[in-house]
Amino acid sequence: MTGRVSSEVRLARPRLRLLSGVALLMFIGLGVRLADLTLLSAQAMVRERPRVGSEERRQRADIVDRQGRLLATDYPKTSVFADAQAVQDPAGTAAALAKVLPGLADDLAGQLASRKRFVWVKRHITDAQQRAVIRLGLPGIDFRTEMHRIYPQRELAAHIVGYVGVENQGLAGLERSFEQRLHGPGAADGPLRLTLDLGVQEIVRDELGHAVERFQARGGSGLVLEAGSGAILAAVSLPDFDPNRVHKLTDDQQFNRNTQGAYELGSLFKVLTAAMALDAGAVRITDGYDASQPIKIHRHEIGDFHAKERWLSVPEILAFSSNIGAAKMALAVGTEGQHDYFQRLGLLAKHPIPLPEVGAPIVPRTWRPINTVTAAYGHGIAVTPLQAADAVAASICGQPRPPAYVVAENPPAARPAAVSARTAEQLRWLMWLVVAEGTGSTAKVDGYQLGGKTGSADKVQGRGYGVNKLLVSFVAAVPVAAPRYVVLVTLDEPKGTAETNFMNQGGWTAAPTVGQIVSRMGPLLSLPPDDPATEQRLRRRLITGTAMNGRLHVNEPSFKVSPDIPWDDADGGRQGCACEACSSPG
Amino acid sequence: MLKLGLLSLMVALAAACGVYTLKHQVQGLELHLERTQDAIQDQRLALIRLKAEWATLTQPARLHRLAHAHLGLVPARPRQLVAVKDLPQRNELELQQRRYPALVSSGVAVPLRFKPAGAVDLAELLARPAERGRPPVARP
Repeated sequence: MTGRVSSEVRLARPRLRLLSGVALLMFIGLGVRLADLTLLSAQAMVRERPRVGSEERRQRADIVDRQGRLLATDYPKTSVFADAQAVQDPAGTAAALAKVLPGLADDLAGQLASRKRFVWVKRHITDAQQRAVIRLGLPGIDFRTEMHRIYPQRELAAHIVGYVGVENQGLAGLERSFEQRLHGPGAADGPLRLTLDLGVQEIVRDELGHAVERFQARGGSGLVLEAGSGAILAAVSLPDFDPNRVHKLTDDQQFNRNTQGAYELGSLFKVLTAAMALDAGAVRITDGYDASQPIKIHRHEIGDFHAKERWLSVPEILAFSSNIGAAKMALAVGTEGQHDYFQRLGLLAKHPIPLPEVGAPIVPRTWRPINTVTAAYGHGIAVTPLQAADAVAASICGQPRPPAYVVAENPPAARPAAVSARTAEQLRWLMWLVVAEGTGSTAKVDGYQLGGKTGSADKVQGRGYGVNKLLVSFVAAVPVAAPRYVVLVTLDEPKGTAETNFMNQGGWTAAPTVGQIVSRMGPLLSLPPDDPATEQRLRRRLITGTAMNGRLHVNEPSFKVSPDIPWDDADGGRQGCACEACSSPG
Repeated sequence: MLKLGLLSLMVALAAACGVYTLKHQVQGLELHLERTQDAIQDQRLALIRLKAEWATLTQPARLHRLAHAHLGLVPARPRQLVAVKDLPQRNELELQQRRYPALVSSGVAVPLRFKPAGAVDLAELLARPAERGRPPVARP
């Protein structure tokens, strides 16, 4: 056989060799690929596996206060559904479920018999209810867990935090303006940290709530700023709302008085008028004006609420809140100077705080002398409480400081100093006098030397002003020698009570509210009480005497500042605003 | 030739056994991984729930109410804050506790006491009755 190889075989042999060669090559190729996949590329394949357990199921980042306390978070809520095709006994299943889940649909048995692949049994059950349903062991019943936005602090910071809609999209507050940061890729940066302090926020809300209740006000606002850094520690607007239940909110509830409400703040502006007059050199703190006659400009006559009808020193203009004196100071500065100064304080433009609800100030279209005069005591110009607090902080700090902000990451850049350090120091003393001897004495707090200014503005109604409808306010700096905090409270149409001798002005309503807030928040923020030497140092500048009241013709106490003690002296080196966060941001 | 075929068969059998065992192990590991991942997810959900619950239970208003109702605590007043440097020395406090009888001109013995040099009289501070603040008003 071997010797006689047929011609066919001889012909086929090279083909067979070729064929087996090709087959061999293919197997070698397979073998190499197998070795490559299992031994060499194995690591790469492991890495390609999706990482289960990452944050992909979180939809929005948390919002926390400056201490990390939760303000808004995604919360897993479990719902029960049924696959009707897998349900064996619709009536029995419905009856069993009804025993552990209250409030089920009446026709559940009918729906379970419908052979639909998906039927909601009940939305948002508790963990205990879920365990009870599992224990029933019903076929065709299953659970689905979805993330819902909840606000554990409820009303506490509702206007700042805002809320989301049914699709979990931000509709108001930071939830809306920080949508990109909270939702999607931005959420990976972790929780959004605010400058708010929930402890202080609660104190402000509590005290403001009591004040609104006690004086039957339509609402109110409360703000606490860190004077030097501009960080907002508390911002409350009443009435407020629970962001967990937003289906029927009134406009009143949603309105953020601190940032949206542009109000004529009245006498509060005299602080700013004094600041610009002193800073521009239009008046010295030792000077004064004749306030015996009302000012007449065109058809308008400007008089004083607490009329003294005599010569008033600059400290007295602030302490007794004289419109005539403030108007004369503003006229000394001039219309242009006032406009420039308001511009520098950011009172003529929208506040840059990144909230969707920010109102523009209402300012005169053309700035005439009459506007200068009314703006001197806070009429004819309407700004938000946030703007006013910022402007007062800038005026009493006399150092570069950023405008007020509420989100701790990327704080805004500092604005240049609005006034000199010397003016700021004089202003702090004037504000101290308002509380020590003037209209703000009801704000006094045992332990702290406060500086402040009252405001009681007639509310604009239609084209004129309402009768005894006031928007009262009080702004305070604490401790006044080197302010750490600025507190501003407004009350909308407060009514006097027997306790206040039926007076409803800022000194009777807003000032004591600020006093209460400061006395509670000071210890919480570890603010050391002022030593008696501080008061002595402040009081040393004060010269008290008597003067004849031109209206009542009686002698009354008068105040002047001692010209002998130099300002910005080495007296303990107290200048500008103390600020813990400024030296070590973040 | 037969030997070679037998050897190949044995190698193939061994390889098959090896692959089967490996696959079994992998399945077991995958099950374990899945269970662990489920457990991680459950724990994470539980953590979110607990954090939210904690935030709700520690609302400042609620703590204020509970501390007042059950412990009689009221907010601290500014004067209750004292810097360490203002505290009197321990020996001064001990001296303060001692009474030194001194005879006055009328012939009566009066107990004299030392007063600490520090700015704050701690004993007096502690003896002051706690000011009862107005009870907090619950708001829903």
